[in-house]
Amino acid sequence: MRKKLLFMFYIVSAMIVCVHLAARVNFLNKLQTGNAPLFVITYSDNNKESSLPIKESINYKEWATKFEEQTK
Amino acid sequence: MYSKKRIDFWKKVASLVSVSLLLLAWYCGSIRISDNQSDMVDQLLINGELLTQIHPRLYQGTSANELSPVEFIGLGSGIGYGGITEVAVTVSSQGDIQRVAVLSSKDTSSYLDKVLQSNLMEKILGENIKVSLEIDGVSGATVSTNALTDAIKQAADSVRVQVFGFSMLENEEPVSHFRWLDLMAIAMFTMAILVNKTRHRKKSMFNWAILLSSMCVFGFYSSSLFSSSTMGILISGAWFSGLGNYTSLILLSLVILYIIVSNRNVYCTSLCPFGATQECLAKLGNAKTTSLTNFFFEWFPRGLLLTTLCLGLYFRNPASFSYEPFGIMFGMIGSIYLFVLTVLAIVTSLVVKRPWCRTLCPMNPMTDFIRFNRQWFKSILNKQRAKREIMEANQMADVAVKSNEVSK
Repeated sequence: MRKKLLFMFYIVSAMIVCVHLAARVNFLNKLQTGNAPLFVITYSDNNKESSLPIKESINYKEWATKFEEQTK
Repeated sequence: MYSKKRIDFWKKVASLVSVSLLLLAWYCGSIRISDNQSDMVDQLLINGELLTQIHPRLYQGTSANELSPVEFIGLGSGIGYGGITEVAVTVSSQGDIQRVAVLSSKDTSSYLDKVLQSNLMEKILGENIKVSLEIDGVSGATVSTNALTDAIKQAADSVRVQVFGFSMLENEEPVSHFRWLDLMAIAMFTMAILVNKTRHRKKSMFNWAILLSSMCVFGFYSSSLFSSSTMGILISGAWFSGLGNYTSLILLSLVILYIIVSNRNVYCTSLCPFGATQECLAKLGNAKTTSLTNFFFEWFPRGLLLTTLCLGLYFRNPASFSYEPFGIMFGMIGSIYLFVLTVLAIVTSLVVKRPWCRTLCPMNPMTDFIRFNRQWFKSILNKQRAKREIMEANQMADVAVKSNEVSK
């Protein structure tokens, strides 16, 4: 019974770890091909009043779409 | 099934292949790395259109029809769990912080995410760097927060000094990396050795005391137990450029040294915080010991650790490939996969004693690797010694025969 449980734990854990590692590789690969910063935050009207005109606000979503375009 | 000699031969091949693969991953990683930082900085301009580097850590942005700069981009770095975190800060010509970007980080992504999801970065946007910067911390990810805040301050300083003519503070305190936790690691490791050597009738009680202390100090308090990422940091040499926390590296180095010297691993039995947690759960559920002895179950963790270390070396980011449930267990930080893994390990620990230690823990492959190579090296030395002794014995016999002949 215990051996069976340990066997099940082994197999499921191995699968989880493999998926986790594959996700990490995929994420780092995407970052590298995208050649973009990990995170960008810009001063805009959304967070604080700006004394300077802002040409464009770059946010995380924008970078995500850029990633997709570049990887395509 | 196979003779011991044949198994030994294949183990030697596997050992050599492992070392070769690690070297190959490290070499391929060095080819892959290119200086793409200036490309990234180019994307951080807000009002400017032309980017010019005016200092190794400072860029200025000018618009096409104006000669005077409209903004500056300063670069800075801070030391996190796994190594250096690089940050770029875009500052207006009046000194207001307009944009902050994390260019690269060698920290575990979950820790960095926790810092980024807090409003730490938002708070400093719009601040004027001519006035001192005040940045708050984030609980649960202190080292990552410190790395990020140090990097932001350094990036702002490069603009402040080079552009606005401020002078750097000379009386800054040197960063002290050797902390009480590091001393505690050395002290507790020494105690673990003593407890393992003693034949006192209360040996088991002493062992429990160390195990529980380690679980509290290196587990729940500081979450500084070592993992596959620490092994990657050690072999990649990332610690040369500085680390935010040396405790896990000190523990790992002591464990490796002790295995090399005495062929014994005291960490798993007396110090491992996750091992202690599993032991406590086993007591609760009255769990029994069982193990899997199949060839696959022995070699899969070895392959897994080798793959993880190779990936860490190739991407130059060992902290990203940590696959243990320690982060979730002691800091509630990690991916959803690791959360599921932790829950599974906790539930199984109630029925089977130390399920993680008996399956995927990277400590077993590392110990096996060191022990096997130690034994191999020892056998080579023994063979050489035996050869030398035979040669000396032959020489002695020759001398004796010659002296007999002379006396005759």
